[in-house]
Amino acid sequence: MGTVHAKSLDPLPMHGRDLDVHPEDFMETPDQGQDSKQEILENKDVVVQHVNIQGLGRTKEDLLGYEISDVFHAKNLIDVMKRAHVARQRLLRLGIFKDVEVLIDTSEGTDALPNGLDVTFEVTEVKRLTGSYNTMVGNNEGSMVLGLKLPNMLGRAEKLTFQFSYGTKETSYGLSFFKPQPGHFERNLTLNMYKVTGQFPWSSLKETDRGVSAELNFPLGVTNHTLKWEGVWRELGCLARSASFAVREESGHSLKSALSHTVSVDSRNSAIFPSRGALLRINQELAGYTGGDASFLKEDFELQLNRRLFWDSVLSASLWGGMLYPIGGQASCIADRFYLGGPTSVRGFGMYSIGPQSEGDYLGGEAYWAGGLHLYTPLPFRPGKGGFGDLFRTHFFLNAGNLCNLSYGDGPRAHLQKLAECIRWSYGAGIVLRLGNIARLELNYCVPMGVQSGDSMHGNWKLAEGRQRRESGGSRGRCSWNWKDS
Amino acid sequence: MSLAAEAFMSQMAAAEPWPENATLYQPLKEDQILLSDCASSLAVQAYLRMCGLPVQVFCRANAEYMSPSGKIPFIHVGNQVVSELGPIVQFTKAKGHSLSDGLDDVQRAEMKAYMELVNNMLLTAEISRPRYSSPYSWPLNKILAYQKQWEVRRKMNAIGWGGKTLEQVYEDVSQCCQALSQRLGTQSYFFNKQPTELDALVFGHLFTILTTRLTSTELAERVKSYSNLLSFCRRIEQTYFEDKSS
Repeated sequence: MGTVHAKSLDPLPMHGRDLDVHPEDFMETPDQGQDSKQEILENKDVVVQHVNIQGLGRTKEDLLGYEISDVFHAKNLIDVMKRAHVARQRLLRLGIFKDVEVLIDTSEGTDALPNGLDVTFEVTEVKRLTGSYNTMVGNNEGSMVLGLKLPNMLGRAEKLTFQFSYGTKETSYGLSFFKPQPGHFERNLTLNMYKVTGQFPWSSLKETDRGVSAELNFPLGVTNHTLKWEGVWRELGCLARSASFAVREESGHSLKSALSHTVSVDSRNSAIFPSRGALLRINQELAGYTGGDASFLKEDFELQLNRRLFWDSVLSASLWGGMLYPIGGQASCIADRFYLGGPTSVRGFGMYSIGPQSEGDYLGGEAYWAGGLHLYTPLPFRPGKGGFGDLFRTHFFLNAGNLCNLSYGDGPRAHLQKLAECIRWSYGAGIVLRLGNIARLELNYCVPMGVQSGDSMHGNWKLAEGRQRRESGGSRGRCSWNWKDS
Repeated sequence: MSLAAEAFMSQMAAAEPWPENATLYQPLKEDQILLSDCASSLAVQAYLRMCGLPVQVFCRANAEYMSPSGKIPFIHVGNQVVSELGPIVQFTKAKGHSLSDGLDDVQRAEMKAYMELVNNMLLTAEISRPRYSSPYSWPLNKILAYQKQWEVRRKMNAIGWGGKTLEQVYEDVSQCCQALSQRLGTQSYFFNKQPTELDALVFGHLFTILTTRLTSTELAERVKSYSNLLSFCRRIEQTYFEDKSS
């Protein structure tokens, strides 16, 4: 909870812009005096007469009216404090204020009621331009990352972000414009333009994507929907002279123009260590009907259920899967297929190293499913309880999954049968550390089973980092530009 | 690749005989292939036929990007990929097939000189008539076509041909043909009775110029004025290409 000042009946000067609103109902005025102070604080009805916002510079007022209008409905002081707190959270989530303080005082002026209150939000706007500069070293290359952000560009919580990364091996950049609908921050539009390069040593492939995308987010009941159009010019190339011919055949240029829709329902209480709640996300993507060379229909889903058990332990079950249907008879492109394996899906197997492969290069597959069952418990004997120790968990896990290509024309029964054969699975235990709210670090002892010829495995011990699963599930979604509100 | 690795790879290549399923990749004939690429591809095909090595030709839109050096044509033999005539000649030599074994050093140097002449004159003359259109969809076809033209223009400027007019280009081609015609004289092939890689290269370029369906036939007319070159092309075509299609 932020800072809330509840002043006494001493008069205070009035500042700031008045939003010109009027009280809705009229209550009996209490007697003035010391004991009335007590009554107002407890349960005596009050009326909120004015709600002001001080400290606005470039922000437009009409945007904020929606966020704070609820404060007027408060009936007593406790209610005023609660609603003011909620309004403060709403103002902060717009991302345009560095700090918001709430001041509740009695009304002053000629039209002041004896039980009238004025609520003032003292805000500090963020600077017009913020920049960041990082250097990153890793994977045999170094790079310099420059970020520029213009928050609240036109006064209605729009945000323009530019990121530029210059490295020894590759250069990428991206420009993103975010615009929420005034009054409904959850409905927003994002426009992106980017060039991203990626290297995938498990397929001996390197990919350069240049693209534009437009994304519309809106909530509908308990679900969250995203509609997106993306146009990407993809350039694939071999990472090494020794790449397999199957990968060499995929080199070259292609243009993908795709519409996608995602619906998600998330009732978990945390993204990294949820202890209750569920997540369901279904995504579909249709490419080829708005231009471009690539033509396919892609479906994937993710389901996660969490439940708290005895002794602070949590049981978590997850299932995800997807299918890719090439349309128009042409084969699917390696950049669109699904990949499986590694510390985020089936532990014990090499990163994205399950499934069809050619001379050691993994080509991905057109259908996959994966599942996991985890039991998270606090560290034994709970060292550092209440502090550092809470970031750690021990977990026991059972992962399974399968990835294959499908020959269409056999019908759905044959598809399901194909996916049910030769399941890869693994089990083990380990320690998990939460990094902020976006990633986790794991040290696992893992026993892979059901290994098929061609799969690549690690030794039993593995230290790995995994991010929150990206929007496109098990596929190679990294070349789309995801902007998180940082 | 490092020299040691290349030497190792060529040793490995030498160990295996030429397989039946060797393939050659070039861009699509109809709307994508450039004149110079067509000539190079035909030269390699002629060379392989002269060696008696079977190869199947595939046309792919992304042949240029599949090639390890970015140049076409390239051949896929076993699990090796080799591109351009020079390296392909080396590769077949490692497997024991060579056309220039019978030449002495002086002749070999002469052959290399003529090959350079052909590469510099005829190849760049072909480049000066770009015909790149694209099998990709909009707007990628515009972007790639523009990129290709820009690349070609840059290459022309680098070798000093940027300022040449068409007339000067035709003059250079004529001079090159004259030199080749003089060397050929009345022989069947450039070096005695056996064809060498020079014959394959000259055939590839001249045949492409003669049979192209481009805008102007000026280049073809210039070549046709040398009758021994014309009969040379016809002879090679009949010997090595027509018996396959029968």
